[in-house]
Amino acid sequence: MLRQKQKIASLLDEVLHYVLQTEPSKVTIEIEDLAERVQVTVQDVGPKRSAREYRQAERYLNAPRRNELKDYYSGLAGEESCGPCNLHLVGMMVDGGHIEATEMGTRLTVWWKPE
Amino acid sequence: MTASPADATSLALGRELSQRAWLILLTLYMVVMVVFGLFYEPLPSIWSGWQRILKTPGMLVSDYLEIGGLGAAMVNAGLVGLTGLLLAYLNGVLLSGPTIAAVFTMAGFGLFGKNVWSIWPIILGVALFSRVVRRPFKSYILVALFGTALAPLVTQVTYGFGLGVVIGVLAGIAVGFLLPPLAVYMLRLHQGYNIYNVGLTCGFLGIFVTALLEGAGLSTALPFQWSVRYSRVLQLGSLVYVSSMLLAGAVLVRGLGGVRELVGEAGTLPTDFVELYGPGATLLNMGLVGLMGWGYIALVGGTYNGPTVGGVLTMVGFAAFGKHVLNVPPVMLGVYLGSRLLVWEPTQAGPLLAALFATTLAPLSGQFGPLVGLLAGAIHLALVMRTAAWFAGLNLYNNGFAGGLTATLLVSIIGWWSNWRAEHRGEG
Repeated sequence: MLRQKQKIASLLDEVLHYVLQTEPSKVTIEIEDLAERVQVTVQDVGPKRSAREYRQAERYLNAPRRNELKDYYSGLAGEESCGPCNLHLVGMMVDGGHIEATEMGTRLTVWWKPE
Repeated sequence: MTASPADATSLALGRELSQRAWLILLTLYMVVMVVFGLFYEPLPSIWSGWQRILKTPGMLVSDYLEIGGLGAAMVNAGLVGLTGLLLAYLNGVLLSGPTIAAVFTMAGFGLFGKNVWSIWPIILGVALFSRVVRRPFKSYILVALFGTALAPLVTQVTYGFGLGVVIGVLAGIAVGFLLPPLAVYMLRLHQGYNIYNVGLTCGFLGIFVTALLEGAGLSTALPFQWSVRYSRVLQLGSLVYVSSMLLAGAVLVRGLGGVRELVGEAGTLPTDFVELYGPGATLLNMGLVGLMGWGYIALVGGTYNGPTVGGVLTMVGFAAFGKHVLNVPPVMLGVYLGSRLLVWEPTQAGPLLAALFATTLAPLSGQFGPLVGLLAGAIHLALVMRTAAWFAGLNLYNNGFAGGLTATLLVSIIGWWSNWRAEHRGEG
């Protein structure tokens, strides 16, 4: 459970780092412990990103699961780094993710099966 | 606007390569080295040369071309690279950016410091750690492969100190066991801006090992074996070798969209170009970055030998994992200008190797701009000329160690500065 909490905390740190780049006026975080998976949704109200940025973010979030990278490089999660690369780290730690523009801003969702 | 996963992958332009195809391609690049070595010299000469390589301590700088001849050195390098490749493949690790970097780095250092037996105790040590913490070995396999930078400890303890194979192997296993937790921690120091993170880790550990050894009365003198005999043939051979990657990339890539996106990356750890931009763009980048390394040696009038060609191979490997044609040149130029302004010549062994390996700091240039890259290169040079002595040459990734310290220095200052500026603006 401690591992899970740590994972959520460092993952949220990375996601928030990304989300706050656009200086939104409001950010809502939802953490759901569903039967088979943990799902984190971050919804912001603020400026939207470019189509290219959404595309790039989606690609990062859906990078194939890589055990050889996850245990080693996930230590970087929560540390300051460059823009979209943060999501690359997030993508490494989760099973899947989705980012989309909403009427008010952006919604980013990631999910994974607890180990 | 909603981005679908299909849109998301559309940027990875060009043909994909299956894992089997990557295995064949990488195997070919390693086997070519072995075959070249076997044809370059008569077999008895290669055999005797290889025996000398296997029994040499191999600390920095031990050019295997000088010790065993070009044939034996190439055979050793190809086999060391193949070992890394097969180990990754058999453990189910995706053959992608990080693995390519590890394989080419291992092969490169197979020309000066790693041999087919001295790498194994380190790998076994990491495997033992993963067993103890009940994680699959593949979780730490990159640390194991890159961690073979400490292979000279095995050969130095065995042959240099004359303590025998058993003690040498145990020493290797012990340091290998300590590498994974340290490597994860070291990442946080430089926040992924030093691509050779295990170099920093091995150097850090190497300082303690050297202190303990010297405390036990086992002092080590830094060797300096630097071949100049085979420069011409290696210049031509390495040119063909890296150019072939350009060709392979050109065949696989479709349009330059992926390449344009790739060079827009900062390159901080972990940026896997194969996964993000596909094999075509990555191979093109590998060829171009390799040509930059090759061209630098030619431009300054340096020697092509085991360490310098090893440097080019390492650059090529990491061009699949963070280095690219835009973030590499400022750092190399920084080393060049640094050596001009300070007391060294760019053709000397240290500054020449620093220019090739300082590209571990390419993400600084990619993220904060070429001026920071330039500064990083110059600072790195001044530091790396001292650091090998700190761990008595036992860590082959001396530039990874110095690069880690340089990145930590710059990232902490830049981080503090940007925070201070942001706060100041807020107050204003």
